[in-house]
Amino acid sequence: MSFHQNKEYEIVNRLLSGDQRAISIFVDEYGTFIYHVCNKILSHQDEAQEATQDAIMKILHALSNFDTKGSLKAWCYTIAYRTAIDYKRKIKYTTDIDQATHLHTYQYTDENLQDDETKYNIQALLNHLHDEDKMIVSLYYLEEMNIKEVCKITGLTESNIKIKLYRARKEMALHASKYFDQYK
Amino acid sequence: MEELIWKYIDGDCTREETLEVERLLKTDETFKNDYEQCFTMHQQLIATSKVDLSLDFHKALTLQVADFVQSQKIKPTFKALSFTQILPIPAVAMIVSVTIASIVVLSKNQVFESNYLQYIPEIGDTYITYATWSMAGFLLLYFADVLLSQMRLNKTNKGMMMV
Repeated sequence: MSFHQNKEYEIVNRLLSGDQRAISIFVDEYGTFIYHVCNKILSHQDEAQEATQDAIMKILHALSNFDTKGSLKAWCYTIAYRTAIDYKRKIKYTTDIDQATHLHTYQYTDENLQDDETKYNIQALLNHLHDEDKMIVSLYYLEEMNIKEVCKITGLTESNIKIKLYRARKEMALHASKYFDQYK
Repeated sequence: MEELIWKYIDGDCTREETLEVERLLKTDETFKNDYEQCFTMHQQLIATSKVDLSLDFHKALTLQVADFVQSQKIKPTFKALSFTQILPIPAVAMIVSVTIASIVVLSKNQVFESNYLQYIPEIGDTYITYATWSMAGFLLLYFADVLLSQMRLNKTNKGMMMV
């Protein structure tokens, strides 16, 4: 068992015994990660929060059966991804990004107008991708994960990730001029 | 060309490819523009990737996890078993054995004596005294552990209130 797996095993054990510190670590590290996955799939804060809570309940219910040989983060990713996809199907979320862009009543604040706009446009660009590609791009840039970490979490091969990453960014570049002036 | 640019940005280029990209950046204006667009997107993806949970949602998740863990008490491992769960076993065993021993000593039942007493060693006052003290010791540890667990639980609840 590697050091990282040992650490995860310890968190699981402490969480199961009701350790307050382990609960905080779980929410900070894994809760944020699960929210990130749900948010990228659903692109909507309220729905992502609801899906995150649902995914966390599923994870907690199954935690005592967690195989300590695997990675907790990869396991959380699988549950979060499937939960978010289920939510997306359930709410019949529209994938037509152009329509969503026009209908969305986004409130920009004066203070972080530029940041919010960039974030919103990048999310709009990501919405042009398939869910799996969207997740690969998001994971790659989330806390600047390397390819190996993305492989571990998604279970895909390194070459597969590289190809998907390249195609996804190429696809994003095609649509970039719609959202950013500097790509025109 | 775009593939080469992304390889360069990701740091996956060989030495020859790196030199080629650097040469093209100096000489080819179209290549330079493509590179700048890709690099801008790369930077924007990094800058917008960080997701922070809102304070309210973080609090809601913490309470949700804490409530679940407290209410379900999902399969603790052996390590997580406290003395509270282990100590009653020898304590009860001791009480039962002392009770049986007392019955055997006190009863002068002939049938019992002839059938079972031959298998039980001679029981004297010293044995009963030791057994009683052991039992008292176990019970003392048991109550001390219950008290400590209660104090720990109160502390945890206070922590939860602060969260």
